[in-house]
Amino acid sequence: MKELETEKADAVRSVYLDGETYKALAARHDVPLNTMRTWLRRSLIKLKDCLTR
Amino acid sequence: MSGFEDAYDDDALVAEYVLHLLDDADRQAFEARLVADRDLRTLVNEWEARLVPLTDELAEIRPPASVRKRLLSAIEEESASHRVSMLWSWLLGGVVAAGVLAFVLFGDAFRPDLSPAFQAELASDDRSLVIVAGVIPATHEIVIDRIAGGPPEGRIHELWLIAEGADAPISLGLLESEGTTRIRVPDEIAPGVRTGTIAVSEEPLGGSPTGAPTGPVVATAQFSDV
Repeated sequence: MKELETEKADAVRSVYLDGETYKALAARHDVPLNTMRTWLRRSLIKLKDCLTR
Repeated sequence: MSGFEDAYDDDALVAEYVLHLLDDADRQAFEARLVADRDLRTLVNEWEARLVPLTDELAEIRPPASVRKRLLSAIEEESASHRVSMLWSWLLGGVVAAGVLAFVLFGDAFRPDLSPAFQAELASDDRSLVIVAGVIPATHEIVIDRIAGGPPEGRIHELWLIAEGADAPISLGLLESEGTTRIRVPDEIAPGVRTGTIAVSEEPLGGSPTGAPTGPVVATAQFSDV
């Protein structure tokens, strides 16, 4: 988790622990929804890579 | 929401499903695939297990004893008001029957895989007690079939989960003295069931008063794939 950039790690965390939606995240980070989705999906894959390495 | 079909698509899709990020249409399409695709179900389990450590960062909060008291009295009130609601349930019966019929006729396409994916046999050393527990991942349910034996008079069997690496068992619920018991496992506990140890203890009627096993542990087991 530490290897993920703080902002992205926060996004993953808030989705898992607070049940945030893409819509809410996109609004909070002020990016388009599709950008948010791509962003979070990359973060998740990176998270997986970190954990399985 | 499409157009993201890239190389690691399924893996990311599963993660999104586990995190409840899919919209209704995507989720339904995904669940339809889950029914037929065992590998996909494995991915779901892996992702659930992978994300659980995030909860380690949360501080544990012990609810005050007054909460338990209020909860118990609320349950008592509810069983009293049950009698009043008998008439209502009779009236509602017709509506439910119509719903069930609709489900039988049209529900097939939406039905998740309801067969157990993991199973465990809980048996005492002399096999006077044999209980088979199966986990249905789609509904986070444990279905417990009592094959042989029951608790002694005035006692009840309670099911516990000792998650991998955890030091204290969590109560999953009380078992019927005969036949089948279905227990819905809370979402936050569910990912730990596959790798954890389950145990049955003997408790006073009403279950362990302390939240930890107080009577003898009569059987323990781990789940394995069906």
